[in-house]
Amino acid sequence: MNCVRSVSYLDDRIAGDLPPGAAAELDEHLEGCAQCRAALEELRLLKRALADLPAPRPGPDVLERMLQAATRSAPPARRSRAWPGWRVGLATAAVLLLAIGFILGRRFATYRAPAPQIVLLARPITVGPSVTDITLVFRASDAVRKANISLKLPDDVQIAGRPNVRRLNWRADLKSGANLLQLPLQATGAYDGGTLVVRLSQGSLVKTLEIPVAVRQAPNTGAVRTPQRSTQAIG
Amino acid sequence: MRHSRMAADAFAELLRPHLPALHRLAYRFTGREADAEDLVQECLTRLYARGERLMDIDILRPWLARALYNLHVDRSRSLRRTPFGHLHQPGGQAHEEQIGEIRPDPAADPDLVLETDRLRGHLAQAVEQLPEDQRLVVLLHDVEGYELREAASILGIPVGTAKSRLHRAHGRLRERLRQRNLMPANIVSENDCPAEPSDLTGFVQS
Repeated sequence: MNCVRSVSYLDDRIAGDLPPGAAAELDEHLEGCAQCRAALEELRLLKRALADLPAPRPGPDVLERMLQAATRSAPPARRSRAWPGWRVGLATAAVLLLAIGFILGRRFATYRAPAPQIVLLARPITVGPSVTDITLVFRASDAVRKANISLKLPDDVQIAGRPNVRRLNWRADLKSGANLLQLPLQATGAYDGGTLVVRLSQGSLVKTLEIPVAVRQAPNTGAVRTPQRSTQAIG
Repeated sequence: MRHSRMAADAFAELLRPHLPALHRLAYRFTGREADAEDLVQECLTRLYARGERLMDIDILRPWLARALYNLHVDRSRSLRRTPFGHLHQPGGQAHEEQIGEIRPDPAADPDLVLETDRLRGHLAQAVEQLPEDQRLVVLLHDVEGYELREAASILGIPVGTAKSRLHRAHGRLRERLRQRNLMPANIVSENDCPAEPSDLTGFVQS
């Protein structure tokens, strides 16, 4: 499977609509293709953001007034056939069942799951004057909503096209499993390495990862200066 | 008289659980709360007046959505569409200024705080600017959570058509957000694929 075909399958893959053969083929491709994996994550992110688009919530009184206005305006055309008495009974029973379902749902919703486990992963980074895409992996045991993620760049390293950005903070939802973050990094004028600090927090959960960053001096020399500080993982 | 009261009660009890979703959908279609209320009100009034046999319908939610959509199409033929219009206003003057700009000026925003609200504002705007046929599939399926086959049936189109519209819409939306750097995890081009095996050895981890 090539990337063009893989990308056309991603919607179905998220919806769980892919036939088993195609799913296996796609999985095999995803295994070996970081770009398509990232495209899948991007699509998931987009779909989560779409599902979160806000809408006004009218109060129950507004909705109730609408119902009253509708039933006041005109009697139903086929009154006796459309709404016979036994159907009224059924409708009441259905509403009662819905209410029970709602209460049960609420009860389950308040069940507190154990705190999710999160592991941050990255390769040690080597950057040069040209842009290098690096990948960070956030592996979560469960979905985490509205996690705060921050990045602090070492001196002499920038996000491509963003010379003034030294720190980056945003909020994101993590899904259960591997969540990928790709960053285009590039070394600036001075040649010294350092540490890229990634921090994830949500409530009392805090994870920090310090990734050593080495700077390649120039495209032709191949010389690499390793960072002064040693790697330290803080969990 | 008694029958009429019972019919009204039965209608209300059957419809009541669906009203919040119906109102939300009407808002997605119209983009304005007042128009959404008008649309839902007219839909309810018509359904009741026609004495629709709603009890006989297996799954009411998509059926109601289709009734609402048909009414919306009838009503909006002569109206200009303004979906999500008001979303740009609260705290969003800056959004207007950024139209046409490829990316925010980093000097003016050194720490680049990517707020959820900002993403939503831009995303709402990007959805609004989709071609109408793509926008409707996104609104029904991604935003309101109807299954794709339900969305296709509501819109009266084949599932395959809905699927390809959705795919095209996702491509456009991702491109739009990418241009505004609102998706840090998305700096990826679908065209170049290294297909190198992922090797986890040598990773540092916390």
